[in-house]
Amino acid sequence: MLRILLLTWEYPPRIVGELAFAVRDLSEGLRKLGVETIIVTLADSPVALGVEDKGIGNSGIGSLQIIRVGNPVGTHIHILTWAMTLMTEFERVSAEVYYRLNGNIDLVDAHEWLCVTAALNLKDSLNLPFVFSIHSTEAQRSLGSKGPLSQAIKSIEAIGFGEASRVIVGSQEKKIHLISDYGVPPEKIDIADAFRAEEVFRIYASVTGNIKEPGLPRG
Amino acid sequence: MASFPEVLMLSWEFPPRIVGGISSHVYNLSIELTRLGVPVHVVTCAFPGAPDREEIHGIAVYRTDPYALPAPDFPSWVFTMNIGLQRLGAEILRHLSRERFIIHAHDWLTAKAAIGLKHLHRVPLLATIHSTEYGRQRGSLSSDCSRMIHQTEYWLSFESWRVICCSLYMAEEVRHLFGVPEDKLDVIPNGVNPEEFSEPFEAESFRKQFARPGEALVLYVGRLVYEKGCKVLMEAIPEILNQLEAKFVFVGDGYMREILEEEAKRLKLYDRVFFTGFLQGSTLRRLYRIADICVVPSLYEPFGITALEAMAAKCLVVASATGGLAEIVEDGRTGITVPPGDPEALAKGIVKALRDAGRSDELRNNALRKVLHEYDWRKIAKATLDVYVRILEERRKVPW
Repeated sequence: MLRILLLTWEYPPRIVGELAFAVRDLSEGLRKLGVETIIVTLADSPVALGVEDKGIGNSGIGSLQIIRVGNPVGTHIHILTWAMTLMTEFERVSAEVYYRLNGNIDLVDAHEWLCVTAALNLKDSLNLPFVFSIHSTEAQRSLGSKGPLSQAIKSIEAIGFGEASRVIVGSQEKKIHLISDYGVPPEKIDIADAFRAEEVFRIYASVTGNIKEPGLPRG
Repeated sequence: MASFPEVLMLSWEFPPRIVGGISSHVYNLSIELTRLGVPVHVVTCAFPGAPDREEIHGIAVYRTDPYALPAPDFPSWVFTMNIGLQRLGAEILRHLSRERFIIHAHDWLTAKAAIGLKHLHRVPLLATIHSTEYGRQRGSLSSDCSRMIHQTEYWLSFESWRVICCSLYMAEEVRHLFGVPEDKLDVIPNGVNPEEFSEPFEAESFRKQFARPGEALVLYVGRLVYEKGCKVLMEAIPEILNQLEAKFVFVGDGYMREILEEEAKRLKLYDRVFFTGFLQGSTLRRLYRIADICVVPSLYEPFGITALEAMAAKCLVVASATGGLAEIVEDGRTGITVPPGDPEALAKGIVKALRDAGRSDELRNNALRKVLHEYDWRKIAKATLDVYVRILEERRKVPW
């Protein structure tokens, strides 16, 4: 069985875009497959700070826990500084989880550029491998802007592409975009069609070397 | 001793990179800590010509490229530069026993890396807060940027096991602004090395480069920014010149330089005022020694290292009675103080200092004695080590 730490800046009921639904569907799918998923995300009204335990799945294994945290710095000048301080809080909470579980975490899954630095620091400090899940890129969102904020965000995406064990995208089209616009080596990118849990699970397993079939108890 | 502390210093500047006062503070503190037997690892920003890794007087220095990532503005740069600092810090902490480690961060500029490393490695964090955004902005947090920096300072002080301030004044400010409990604060001053001010040189010919023989030489050293009060000094000059002959040497750079130059022109003082730009090293030390007085007219001064350097060089100090300065310069004992932001009072103070030569010798000697007694880097390092030991002892008593 796998235990993963999933970092995302949106998770229902905090919904900014499609990401919230994609990550919700993924995490519930993973639970059915017997994965223990701990999500670290941003607290937002109407759900306060704290831990929500969705419990063990119907199959009797697999679990889903959502830890919602606040940004330690409330006022920001733009999304980049906002992300930088929020990520340190993600690191703090992830470290809490890591030590509570005596280091028994197999993998970190960082969604979008916002979570890259936290995943990078978990890798550097605690030796946890990470996969970088890309739903949309700054290049696409900014329509090719060369503005300094966009450049900074792209440079953080580039760290993610470089340091992640695998890069996960939801479609062939996205893979081509990463290869042509970001120069990501094709062999590093995996496609999990629409981030379906079964496909993402196989990618996780390929990274951790845990090739056991879904549903087998942790051992 | 098995539990002798080992320290990871996080500083955005370290020689040869010098932006403000933190660089020499961390450098001198690290040297003396090393001499006391504390292994010191300094993680800092790269500088052209300085190697990525080196050992200086026993200090292990690690540098990261601060421009590895593009940033749209200075505060974003600070945060993204911390990514590089944190990576280097992790590399060090991963390979060393964390039972005796302390992370020592200097100002909000290294807060992100320091807090991240603290939690990921479960190593206690100590912060020295040299100045605050609230103070630098003179009590006004009027922009989102200032509020963000202010909250980051709060965050750093909250996350720190203990907080060091360099003056009673700063300790009070930090207590008041961030709600840091009094029993979490330590006051350990900045230091200065008086022996650096004793190298032989040709004083007379050096002085001629700055002032005519009959002129008193009045020295200002500091960034040319509003809170340092350089404009107050400029406004005091006409009144001083009504009473005696003097030359005013402004050492330092900053956004107010053009404004001051314009002001000098307007007041027709151009031949009495000299802007040297940024100076350091032996030229600056010699200037302190040939100057008749050194003026520190700051409106906000958390510590006032300039006054300390002048005192170590036996140069009489006229300072505004504000912040940490007021703790260093005691009126009529180690120098002369005037109310801050008052050009008339400043002019009076300067004239008094320049006229009363006999009295000023006594003040100079008192000042040097005070420097030797209270601002010795060896004592400062010892006091800092005591804080490290205390933190490690407390750390051992709690799970985390």
